[in-house]
Amino acid sequence: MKKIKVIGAGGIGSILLPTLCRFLDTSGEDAVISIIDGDSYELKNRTRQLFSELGNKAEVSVKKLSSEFKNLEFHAKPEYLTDKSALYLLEDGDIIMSCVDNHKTRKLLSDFCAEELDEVVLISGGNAFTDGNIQIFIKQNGLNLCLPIANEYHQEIMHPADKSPNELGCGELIATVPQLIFANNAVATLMLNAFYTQFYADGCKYNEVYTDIITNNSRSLTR
Amino acid sequence: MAVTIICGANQQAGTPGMKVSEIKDDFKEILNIADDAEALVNGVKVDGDYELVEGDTLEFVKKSGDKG
Repeated sequence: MKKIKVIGAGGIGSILLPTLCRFLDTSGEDAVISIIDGDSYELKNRTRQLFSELGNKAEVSVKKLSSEFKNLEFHAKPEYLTDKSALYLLEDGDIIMSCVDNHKTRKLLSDFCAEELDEVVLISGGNAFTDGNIQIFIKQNGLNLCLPIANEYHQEIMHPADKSPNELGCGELIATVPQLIFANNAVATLMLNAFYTQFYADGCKYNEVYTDIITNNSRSLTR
Repeated sequence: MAVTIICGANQQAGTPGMKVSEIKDDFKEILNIADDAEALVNGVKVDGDYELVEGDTLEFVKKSGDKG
């Protein structure tokens, strides 16, 4: 049975989820999908995010997806990932699809997967306005098979300058950075490609992929 | 044989004999290279004074996307 944790159901996550669930549902896969997000869908999210009603992103997504994909088991976790919640939200054997929107949470995830778990596949995506990348981390039998996503080449994740959503105080708003749905879509596609390759083909031979929607180039690499 | 210059998903051909800092200036716009991008030649970190030779691959490491 596959235990899939999708963290973040916003720009990338809400696009990734329907395709992932359709594939799993129709392939006869025995899968449990947990969607983790403490944020809520608001009208302003309509430019980039797929949702059917307003409300907590995890709960709204599970309601919609569970009505459509009857062969899968869903769990809504309407909370942000923190040092504490990671302890009960994540476990050995997880396939984690990280669709978060800040490096602070990526660092938390990177450290938790590399140091606290023995068996995990982490596929992490992020984007700027017209480009983005994914990173893949695999740990088997307690051994890191590749670099954690927070590594010497990605100091922006090693030493994040931003805050995670749960760290924002009352009245403190995340600076609104313009995003493009096509960049979210491109990164979601890379993540799904990596998921398929890792579990249904020969396994990922790379641990990072960059994409640029203007040049329509993508490049996979191993560090 | 030229040198290969990469940043993120994109790449260009460059000229051997140039320094990393010169290439960074020349390709900054077309490859969207950040001011603080780290330079790797054939996977090894180098500074701006490194002079490229034929066949080298120079990568300016692009930061991970922060949004999602």
